Amino acid sequence: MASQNVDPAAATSAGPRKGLESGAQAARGSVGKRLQQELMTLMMSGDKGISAFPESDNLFKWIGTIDGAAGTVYETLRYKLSLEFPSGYPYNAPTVKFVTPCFHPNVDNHGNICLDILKDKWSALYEVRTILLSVQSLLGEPNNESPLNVHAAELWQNQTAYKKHLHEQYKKQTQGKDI
Amino acid sequence: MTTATEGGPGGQRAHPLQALDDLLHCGICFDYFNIAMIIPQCSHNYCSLCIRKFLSYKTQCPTCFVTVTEPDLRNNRLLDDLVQAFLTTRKHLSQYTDSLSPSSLNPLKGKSDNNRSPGCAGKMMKKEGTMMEKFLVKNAETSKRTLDTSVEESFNSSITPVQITESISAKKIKKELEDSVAECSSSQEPSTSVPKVSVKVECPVCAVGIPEQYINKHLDSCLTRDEKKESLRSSGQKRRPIAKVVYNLLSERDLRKRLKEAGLSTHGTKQQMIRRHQEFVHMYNAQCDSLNPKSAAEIIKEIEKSEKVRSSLEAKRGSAMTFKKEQSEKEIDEIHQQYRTKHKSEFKQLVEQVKGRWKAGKVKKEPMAADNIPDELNKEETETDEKPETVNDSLPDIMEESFQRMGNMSVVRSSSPCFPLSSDSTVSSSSDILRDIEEAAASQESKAGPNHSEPKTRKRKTSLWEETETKHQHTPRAKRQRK
Repeated sequence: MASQNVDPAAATSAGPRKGLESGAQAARGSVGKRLQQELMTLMMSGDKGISAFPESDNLFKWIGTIDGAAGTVYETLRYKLSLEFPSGYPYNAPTVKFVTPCFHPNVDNHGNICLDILKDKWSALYEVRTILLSVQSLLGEPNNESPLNVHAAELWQNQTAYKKHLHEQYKKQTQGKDI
Repeated sequence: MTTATEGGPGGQRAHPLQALDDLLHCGICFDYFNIAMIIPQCSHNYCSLCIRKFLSYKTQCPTCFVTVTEPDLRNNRLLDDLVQAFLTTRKHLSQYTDSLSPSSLNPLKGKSDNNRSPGCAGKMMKKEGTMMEKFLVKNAETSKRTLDTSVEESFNSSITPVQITESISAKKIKKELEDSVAECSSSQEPSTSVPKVSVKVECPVCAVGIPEQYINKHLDSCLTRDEKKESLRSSGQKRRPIAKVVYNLLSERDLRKRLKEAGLSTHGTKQQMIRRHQEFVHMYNAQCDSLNPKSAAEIIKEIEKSEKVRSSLEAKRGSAMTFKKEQSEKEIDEIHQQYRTKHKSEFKQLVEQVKGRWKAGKVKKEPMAADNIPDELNKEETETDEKPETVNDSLPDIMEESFQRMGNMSVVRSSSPCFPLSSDSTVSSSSDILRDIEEAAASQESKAGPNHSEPKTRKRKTSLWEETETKHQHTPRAKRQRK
């Protein structure tokens, strides 16, 4: 997935740009360093069902994947997410969105996620790993009190119907896409 | 066999050390504690700068959410010392394991040394023990005797296998051991109260690296020698934290005044100035917690450096063309013109790529529906990904991005997403680009062969145009779907 609205001038001449960016990250220190650490712990931890990696040589945008937890209606489904880190990270929460369309009470049509730890409950101690785990558990345990997707929230009561609809949607929306 | 015995203790040792290592990391920056501060209410620890920054966002502990304000924070110097001690220990340990593994591995392979390898491993364990002992003793600074015997012990215990193997690396160990003995005896001097021995500290006055134990002496002489006395006194030992500023209540003039007082530059927008001042206050107050705080000048230097990096990064990210309401159409066209000439080659590449795609998938693309776009893009990506990397790594990205940009240029100026062909000014930007490149391409083609007549180029142009147009119309949609 290419990032949008990027100046082609900034994207050209891969060589010098790469050099500049890695140099900048080194100088930029804390944020880049922390993200590097996170990447390392994430890869070392070997958590099942979640993974994430920087999208390109830009350390501030990652693509993550989560598998639906076993025992939930989301089992066997895999979702891609985008994580964008602000320059104020980790004091500011990253922007996390579903790239793969997700039928869920707390996810809207644009992939925005309603999750308290990504908004007002954010703490600097949270990291990519905890975010992905939280989103993974959110899939199985939606908060139907404040739904973004009312249809999904209503359907949640009937788990068999929900599962059927969910899988139909998933199949339709992810057809031919590499996930 | 040997590898197993080698790996055994190594693996075991890695684990508890890993846990120790983790405990000495700050949860916010994920780095070792730097001027550790404890929150007395909950006893959680963070770097001074990290927690101060965090508290400017939320006045609570990031771990347990208990309410905290900056004045509540207290130093936890033990953690700082622990970090230092741990880093020194780790360095030593890794040196030993590095120098030991070849000496115990290489000679063992040739001979039958099953009984020696446990000896080596044992020696390593012993080494670790003595290392621990060493810095414990150093910290306590009590009995010289224990230290001497422990060093002797370690020396003897490791010298036996060294003599047997007689390899070069073994000699290295010997030398290292001698060094460590020297270090230990030097640490016996009563003046040292620090666990680290060979640490050099930069003198805040003359900026020369001085061994830590001599820094006070040096400072005294440095200060009496120089007139810099005053400047250091003001920012020196008894530094008081700067009071917080409510930036929203501050006029731009007052803000400038404050920046000047702190010795910071006053350029940039108000937002930038606020950020600069805030960063300075954070860093300055964090340094106030340190035993030997950095001078204000050093902090300013650091801030300027990070600002430079940030601005260069942001410039890269920022939009290439910004238009204001007041600008006349002519001016805007001029900007477009500049942009086009500047990025001519990239646009050319894009058009080339589109041409290729268009030729390849002419039939397929005719009934292309909006829903297929994301698939198309995905496929495009995978296709280009398979290309050998020698060409240009980020080429597909450039293509995609520039295309989005081309689409956005028109969207910026007309709110309608469906790209009205009637509006001249709206179309001008991208159509001009295409025309420019088309002209260049046409002249090339006419050179290449006579069978490319004018109508043909025209036709191609229109179809190319359609291609871009479909992109245009669908870009917002595709974007939405891919979000």
